[in-house]
Amino acid sequence: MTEKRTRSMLALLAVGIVAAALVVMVADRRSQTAADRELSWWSAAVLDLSVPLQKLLSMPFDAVGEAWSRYLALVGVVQENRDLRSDLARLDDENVQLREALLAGGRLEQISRMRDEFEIPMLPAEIVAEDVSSWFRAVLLGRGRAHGITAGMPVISEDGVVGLVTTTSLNAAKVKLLLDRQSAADGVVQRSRLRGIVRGAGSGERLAFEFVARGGDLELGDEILSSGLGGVYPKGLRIGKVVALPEPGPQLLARATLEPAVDFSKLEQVFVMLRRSATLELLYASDDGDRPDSEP
Amino acid sequence: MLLLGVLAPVLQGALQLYLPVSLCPQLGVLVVLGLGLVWPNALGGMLVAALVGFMSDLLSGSLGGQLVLLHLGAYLAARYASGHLDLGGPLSTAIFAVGFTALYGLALVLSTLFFLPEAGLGWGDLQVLLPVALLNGLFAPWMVGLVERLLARLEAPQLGRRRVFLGPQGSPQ
Repeated sequence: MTEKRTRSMLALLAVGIVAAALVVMVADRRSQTAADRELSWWSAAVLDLSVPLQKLLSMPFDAVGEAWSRYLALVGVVQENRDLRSDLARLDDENVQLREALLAGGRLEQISRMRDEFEIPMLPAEIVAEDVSSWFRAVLLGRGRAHGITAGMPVISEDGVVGLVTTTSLNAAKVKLLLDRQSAADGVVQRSRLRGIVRGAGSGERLAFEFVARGGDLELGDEILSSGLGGVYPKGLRIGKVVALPEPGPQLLARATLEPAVDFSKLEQVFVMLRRSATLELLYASDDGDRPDSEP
Repeated sequence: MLLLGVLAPVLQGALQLYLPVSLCPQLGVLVVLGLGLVWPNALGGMLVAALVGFMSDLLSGSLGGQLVLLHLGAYLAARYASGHLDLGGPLSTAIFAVGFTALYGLALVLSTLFFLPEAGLGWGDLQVLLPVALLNGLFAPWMVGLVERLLARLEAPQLGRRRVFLGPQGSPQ
């Protein structure tokens, strides 16, 4: 009799957990399109607690990595330094020539004014963990709402676009990488200004450049930048390089493959752009209460 | 056991910073497998499995609750299998873990297709499963052993308090 009762209690518990999980899933599914995407207080608290734990567990790996980069990776530094000096000299020359050209056109002052207008404050943040599932691509940052980060803020590295903040807690933020299939960015070919949508390929380390007009001017090695038109990422950020051209076919729109500008496997530190675009301001309007008045 | 449930996904998240996906065992899934195979306490097992799922949900881009559901299902499957299959040896545990991981991955893809079709997961994504399943198979006997040892240690204090009387010949009475 007791065993039967225990069995029914266990079955009830299993059904309860399944029902709760389903409710959370449906709620989360609905919030994908709604403004309120903040975590519940208990989830946020657990996430905050997991950040120092992640850092602690990463310490031995970090120590090994640092030793490697300090002692063993120094082998190529002399040559790299030589190359960088030569690049710097070349870029200096180019810069002078471009300034001259702009001054001649009377546009330098105008551009300088525009730059002040568009300059976005950025916050450096360390990646403390990667997605534990093999099919989704997200990372966890060791900074959150307490540092001015809210959902909808773009995340970049020195190489280009990394992703978008999707959820935050006080001291952590989850970032959906551009590699994730649910990510998308409006891209433009730097050389020919051909436009398309960049989407993540999921498990691989490649991006898809979709909805490109067939027969458009696209070549291998073309650089793709953010166009700023999607209302998510600011204009002019590097996204990737074309590594495979569209297959020939009768369709009007084609799909090319990109190698991301950012090496996601070696990503350690990123920058969160502490300003959302107008589109995302509208979408995440309810988060405004979380944003600090003054940006760090 | 709760601590193990919290630590496994956290450690996996930290490990994946340094290792590619195909070289990182799914520690959370392996803990759940270990619990299902060796822990007789079904109530505790279900709660720890749900906790592993909850932590994994927090550290993943999946839908909230999705990994709770899958880890609970995985635990119940492992528990059912432990009662019907002979999974005593390391080889049988490893082989079972390979199939177990494949089923877990399949369930994840199917549930994502159903609840989040715009995630765009397809059958082609199942190819990630093979290296992960093999790696899980390799690590499963160790993880099951770890869970077994932890359980023995947790139960040891009670055993240690039991009084033992020695007879005249030195044999326990």
